[in-house]
Amino acid sequence: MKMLLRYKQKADYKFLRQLTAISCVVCLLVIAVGCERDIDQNFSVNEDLPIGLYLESRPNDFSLWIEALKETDLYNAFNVGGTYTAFVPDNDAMTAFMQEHGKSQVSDFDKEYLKEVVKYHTLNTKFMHTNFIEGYIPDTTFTGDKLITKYGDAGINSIYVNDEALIVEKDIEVINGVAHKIDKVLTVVTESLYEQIKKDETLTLFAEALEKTGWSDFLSEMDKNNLKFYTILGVSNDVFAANGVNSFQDLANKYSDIGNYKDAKDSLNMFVGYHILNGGLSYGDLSTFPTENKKRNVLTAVEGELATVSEENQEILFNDDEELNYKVELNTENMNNLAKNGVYHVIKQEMPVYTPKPTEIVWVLTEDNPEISGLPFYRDGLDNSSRSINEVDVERIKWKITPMTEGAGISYDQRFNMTKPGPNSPVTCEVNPSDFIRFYTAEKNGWIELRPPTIVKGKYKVYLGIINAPGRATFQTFVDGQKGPIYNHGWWAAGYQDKDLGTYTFGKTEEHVIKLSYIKGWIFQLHHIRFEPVE
Amino acid sequence: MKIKTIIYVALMGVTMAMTTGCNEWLDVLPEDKILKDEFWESKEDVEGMLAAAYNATREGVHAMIVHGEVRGPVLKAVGNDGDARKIDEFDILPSNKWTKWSNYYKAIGYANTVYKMAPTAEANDPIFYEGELKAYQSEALFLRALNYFYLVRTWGDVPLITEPYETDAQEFTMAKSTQEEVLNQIVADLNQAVSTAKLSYDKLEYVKGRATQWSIKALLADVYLWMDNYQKAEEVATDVIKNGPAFLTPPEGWFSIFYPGNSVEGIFELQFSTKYNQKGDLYSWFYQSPLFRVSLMFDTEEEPVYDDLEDARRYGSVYFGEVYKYWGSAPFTLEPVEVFKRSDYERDANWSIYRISDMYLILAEALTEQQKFGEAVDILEELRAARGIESSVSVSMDKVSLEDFILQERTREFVGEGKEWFDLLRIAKRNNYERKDMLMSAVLINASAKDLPVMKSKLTDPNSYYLPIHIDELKNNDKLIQNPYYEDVTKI
Repeated sequence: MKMLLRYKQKADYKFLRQLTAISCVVCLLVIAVGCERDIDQNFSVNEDLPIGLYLESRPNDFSLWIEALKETDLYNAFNVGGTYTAFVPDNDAMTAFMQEHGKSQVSDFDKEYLKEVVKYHTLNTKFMHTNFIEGYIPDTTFTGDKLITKYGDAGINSIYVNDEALIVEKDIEVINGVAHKIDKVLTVVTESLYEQIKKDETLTLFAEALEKTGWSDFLSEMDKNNLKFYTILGVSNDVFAANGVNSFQDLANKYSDIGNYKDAKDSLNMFVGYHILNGGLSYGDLSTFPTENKKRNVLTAVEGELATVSEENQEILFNDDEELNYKVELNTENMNNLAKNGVYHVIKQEMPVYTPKPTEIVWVLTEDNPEISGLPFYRDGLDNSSRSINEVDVERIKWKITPMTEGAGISYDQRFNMTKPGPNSPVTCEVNPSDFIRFYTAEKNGWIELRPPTIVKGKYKVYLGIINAPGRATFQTFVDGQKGPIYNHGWWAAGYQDKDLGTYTFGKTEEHVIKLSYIKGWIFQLHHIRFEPVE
Repeated sequence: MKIKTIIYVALMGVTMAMTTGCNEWLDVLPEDKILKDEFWESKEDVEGMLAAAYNATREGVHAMIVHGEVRGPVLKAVGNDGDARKIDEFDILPSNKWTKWSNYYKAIGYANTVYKMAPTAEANDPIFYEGELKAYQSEALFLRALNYFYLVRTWGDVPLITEPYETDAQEFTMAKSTQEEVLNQIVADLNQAVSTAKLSYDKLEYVKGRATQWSIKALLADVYLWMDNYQKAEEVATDVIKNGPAFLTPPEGWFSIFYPGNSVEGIFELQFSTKYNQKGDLYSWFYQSPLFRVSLMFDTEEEPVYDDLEDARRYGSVYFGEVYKYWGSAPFTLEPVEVFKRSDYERDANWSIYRISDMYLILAEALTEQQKFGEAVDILEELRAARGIESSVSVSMDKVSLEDFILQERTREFVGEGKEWFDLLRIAKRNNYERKDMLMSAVLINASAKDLPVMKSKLTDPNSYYLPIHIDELKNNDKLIQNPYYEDVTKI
């Protein structure tokens, strides 16, 4: 029976998704009756059902969530194709949620609000529990929010979502994704970073500084259509006190030079703004490094000012400078605090504006571009695979060919045993198979434009980190519009080859553009771009 | 007779093809013919099946490395074996291929068959004497015990099977026994085996590669130590050291343990030999296309592993991240840097299960646990002197410091030999995981900041120190219940 059912349902899937909800339910009844025994056992048929139908097959656990899905007209969406991750509160969690809101039944909720809640629990990428780290889940929910996972004291049996809901049953694989049962309805975080910090009683002085310098407005701005994420490194009252700062006035006396705190040129204003990093960087993001030396730069909200993030003795440090004997440590006891527009951590020292020395920067095309690292097949380990990303709009990688010929395209590729650096390349890929971006065209009218993130001003040698390919494209290279050497993509033995594009002096801390104009079209495979400081 | 011949070819000859093809323990059952009385006509039939049991144990070497060492801090799983890397990183799901235990149960299956059917052959074969029968049965019991010992150290509670499978088609299901029950069976088997086992054989490969009274005792000492029966561990290890045929070599002879192997120190080694078409893969796994490496930070100036420059082991254990024991032919030199690689015909290193230094270190640990610190240090110094270290052991005379010292000494002695994780677990688990923190900090030392919180969380639950049961086994045997900590991840 079991065998038959599995076989049949696989075949029926396409047909199933075309059915209306009602016929789905009829269908479910047949299935549910047919394999009641199976569902009770460890090896259920859930992998052959879509999420909605599967949840409905377990009314004791999920009937209230199903009601919420139906109430908000999202039930059908859960039964069509996709690769969802659904955090599903069980009935106890839903009952508590209703009580908390003074509702006696699910239908008493405002429909729009309930819809937000359901969407907040659902992501468009499939994440098994093994994907959860100490930090952000690497995709946003259907409300555009980021969720955070955290580990308690019992390993995989103590994974919490948003520090409030425990995953009590994980990895329920269904045909259109995966469900994780949780013991509490997630509170939809709507508060801005500033509002969250204001609530943190260890950060009252820091909150006051944000307000008096006007950064509070910056952090409260939340454009619904273009939500920008930030990371705050908050300084606790204790840390300020240890530095002799007991009031805002002390802080102003210590840092302000022109006295107008809201002026972007005032050094107190800069001091405060320097504690805001661009982008949402949870602990998991802060502790991810592109290179072995475990150091990278991040942009702060103060224009042109960077901070370094590095790892030393298993700790995350900011602006670690051995010469100056100076570093800022992350307080892991108070980190990954969630807000609508980002995350805040607490640091163990004040963090005055610091100009990092030019340091080697390796921009890895795959892992350093969220549009690529968020792809469902990202690092799935399929050897020798090539997946088209023609449709993916990557902010920092542009590619244009005229005319666009058949077969031409840009793809995400993986290949085994390419992890060792080849000639001239110090870069080691952490994953095997290693991944890279492949550009292919037979045409010669076109270009590739690459825009690595901001680097500190200074003199650098610039390298293209390429992967060997059977066939070669030829380019005229440009760095910030300055003509570089002609580059001929050749065939090397193995590993990466770092191709020297010349030495450039960047007068400002800003972003740079590397442009490759085709002289001859063919295959071009790029892993990274590397900036090596020159003394 | 024809069927018998075919089975013989499969068992006696290169059983590789047969054994690597099947994964589930149900698949590995000997054909039902084997259990018919008429199969068992002579001594040779018993020897054939016994050879299959040894062969199956040899097939387990890869698993012994993954299960016994990669979770420890020194040896790392690298290369294309993603599942081994995940074991190393404690990212372990019941679908991981290294959570399969079939290699151990396969050997146990053969051993059970030998034990049960050998008397039939003895009855049918006029020149098969009882003494020989008992000796064969001792070997079977030894192999069964050895494989069970790997099973309990890796999974904790496991099904205890002591009877041969009746037929292939039989619906086989069996619940787990507790680790304690299995350990008691192991002890009973070994105590029974020791009295009837041979003391020696006429060929060196047999002396070191088949069960003797001494290899049985060596295993027994290790099992007693695992069971926290320190007095017995002391007694048995002392017996092997005092009365057994193996002894410590002088420092110059240390590398002979690995090359050519079967040295005076050897007690039980799984035999590999190019000559007999049993080449083994240690050369490949540790050198050619490495699946196992040691961190380059092993034994650096800042953090020396070898606390004494005169330590002979320093020049023959690890060469720039590679375990040299399996590919060198003499200790390497540092100035000038020179390595001595084995020739193509010599890439067949044995896998050492027990040698005399095991007995010294088991004894030192058993003495430590009984608060006999002075005696423990004496034993350690005796071993270290044989490794070229003249200076005395400087360590505070308390249990924790000595345990730590013994762990370090074990790493110096056994790196790359499939033991470090089991050593950490054995010491950490005593008195209800009294030294869990020691295990955690040892394992976490290599973790990146990113993995640290997750790994720490996982290691907080000691149930995570044992592997889950593979999902296929759970599917095939509905009496099996997933190990604690992993119950939930099996629901798929």
